[in-house]
Amino acid sequence: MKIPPSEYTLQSFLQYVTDHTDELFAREERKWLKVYLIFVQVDWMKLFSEFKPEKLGQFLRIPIGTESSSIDFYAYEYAPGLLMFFTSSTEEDYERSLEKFIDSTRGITEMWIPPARFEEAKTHILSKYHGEIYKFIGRRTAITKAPAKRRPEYQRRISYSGMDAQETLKEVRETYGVLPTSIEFVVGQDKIKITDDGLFVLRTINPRTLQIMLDVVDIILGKQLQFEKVTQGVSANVELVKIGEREFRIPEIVAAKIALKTQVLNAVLVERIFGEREDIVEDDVLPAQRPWSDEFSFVDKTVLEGSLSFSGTVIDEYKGTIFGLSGGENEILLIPKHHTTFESFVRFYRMIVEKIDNEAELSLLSEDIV
Amino acid sequence: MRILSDIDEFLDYLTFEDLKTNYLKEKNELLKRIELEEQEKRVENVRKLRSEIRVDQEHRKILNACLYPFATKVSPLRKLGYYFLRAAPLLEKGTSNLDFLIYKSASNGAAIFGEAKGSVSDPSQTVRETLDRRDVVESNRDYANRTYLGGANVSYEYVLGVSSVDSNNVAKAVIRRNGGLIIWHSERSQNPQLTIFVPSEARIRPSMMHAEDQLNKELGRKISTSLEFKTFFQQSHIAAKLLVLLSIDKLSADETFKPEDLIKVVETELDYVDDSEVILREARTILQTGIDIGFVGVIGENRYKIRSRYKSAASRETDLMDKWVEHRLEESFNQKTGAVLGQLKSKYRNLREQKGDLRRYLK
Repeated sequence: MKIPPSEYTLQSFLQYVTDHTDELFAREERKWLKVYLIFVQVDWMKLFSEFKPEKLGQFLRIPIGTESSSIDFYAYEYAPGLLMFFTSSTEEDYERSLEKFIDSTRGITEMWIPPARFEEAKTHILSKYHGEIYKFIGRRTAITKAPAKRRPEYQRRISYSGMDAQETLKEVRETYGVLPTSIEFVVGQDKIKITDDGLFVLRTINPRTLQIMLDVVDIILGKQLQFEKVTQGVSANVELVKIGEREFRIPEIVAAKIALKTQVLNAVLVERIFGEREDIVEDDVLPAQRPWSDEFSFVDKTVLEGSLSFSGTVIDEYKGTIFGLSGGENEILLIPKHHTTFESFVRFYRMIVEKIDNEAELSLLSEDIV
Repeated sequence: MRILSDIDEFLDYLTFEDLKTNYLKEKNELLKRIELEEQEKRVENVRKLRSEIRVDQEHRKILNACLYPFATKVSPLRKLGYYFLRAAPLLEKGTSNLDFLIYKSASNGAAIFGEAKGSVSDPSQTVRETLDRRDVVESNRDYANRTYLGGANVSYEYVLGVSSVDSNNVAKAVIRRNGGLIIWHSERSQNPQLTIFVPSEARIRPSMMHAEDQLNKELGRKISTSLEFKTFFQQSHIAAKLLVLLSIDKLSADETFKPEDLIKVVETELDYVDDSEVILREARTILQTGIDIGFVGVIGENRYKIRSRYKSAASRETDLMDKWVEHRLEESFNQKTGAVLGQLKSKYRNLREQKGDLRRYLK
């Protein structure tokens, strides 16, 4: 997709894309517009300087990749710290360009949409636009007893297509505890897909699908920006205090707190988080749930049973952030230590929500919030 | 190589074949014996070393629980004006010191010196030791006032921070000595909290409570705290300090690190320390120990690499602790063999001297 240089606003950019779809996507096998929602640090422009972005009014054309092989993304700052990346590239292209860049760069992450917000977005499309779900992918990643009627101890992935997908989604949610991570809607003749990673795929590009996209962004935006503010607010600084003639360095921590709403932690769960305990599965056909992931390492751990208390140092193996973890039955404090970058907390919180408590809440322990 | 040449030199010195043969035989027997002894005690020695690490960890966690509410502005204790001033006050004087100093610089201010104990097996002894340290602080009052408190003459209060499990027994031991220590304890009711032990006897109460009522009230209401704050303190076990090496290379594309990377991390851990010499010394100790135990490799001038077959910090932690334990066992073995071989050499030196005299006589 090549957009000719001009001084674009969001509106004029979208207008151009709508008016020139055939021409813009002439070389593409699939004429789908993809929009990625990305969280970035406050001074985000410098993140992309290596790609020599070109300014197109309120947009930036950022060719991501190597000089010989790069993918064009058109970036727009929809709200402070939230970028929209427009592209026509395939998922594989995305993976080898922007996703690769996100994984290896500090200060940027995909805008994960928590289950409750995702549900709101779904409801909005169904009710306001009378959309129908024709396809979805759902997962059950919980390592807890999140509601599921059948064999709640198993992780699951369900991919379903059919015009009864909406009912099926409801059924698999109740029966198998599966939550959607990707939903495809048909609205009249138009098709649009949304994922909980903050991706929109407009399989039909017209004013209506663009409006649906903007509606959904607005629905989730308020909470998401608050969420971004929390994760970006975590800090460990030093305040200089003068006592007599001498200046002292006083540690000043702004920590974050994850409050669990529907789950009480216990030693077994915490050990699972720490990756020290795997499920014992009787001679069954499905593999045991794996302990968390390779994204975070936990060291210097303590777990005390009884009135539970636990602690440890967490290392984000991808982004390098080091932070402390301290908690009890229904609360986890995140204490910044070294090389802090906000997306580590976004991803950590995401793991807690997906695997422990779908309704867990993240807040910042700072004066202006409390 | 140096060891070999030392042996060669000593054998040359012995001159006589029978002496050489006997020396080597005895030496090998001794080494075998020590090796066997060490092997037999290995399980116990490993257990002791790992227990050292665990005891230090328990201590750090309680210490963190005592300090965290004074390092975060949302805490009501911080709002009262108290803040964490430094760990290990008086350490620079080389005296036995307490673990922390919390300060409030106001007309109703106070300097709270405190000690944290991860686990208490003998409450009376713990209390006695803490009171001894209190006496050391008292005898250095002028220095402490001048150095940390800008000459202010505030009241000193002494705290012993323990886990809730130990709080009753420790408090009883304090009461038996007529008070003089305030007991804070880290509770585990739902989430970690810091609170104060309030003695039921009115007679003893004032000496086991803070002068400022509001502080007692806030602590009595239980303050949310964290077992995590600092990874290590100056007085922590070396194993705790080595933890900062686990991911020191994570932000570098070629997975190496420079001394500056380590210094920066140490600076953050000890951010309340304003003496750059202390920071450098700590960083140097960590780096050198890392090299000594084989966890850090030198790959060039000012360039280092983590020597572990693992990439993830969690797996590296096991590797690091194993290497530290092995290194300590090796050190202990070398110390023992060094002492025994020294005695053996001295014995053969005497024998050689006697032989030398004999040859001269035969001439």
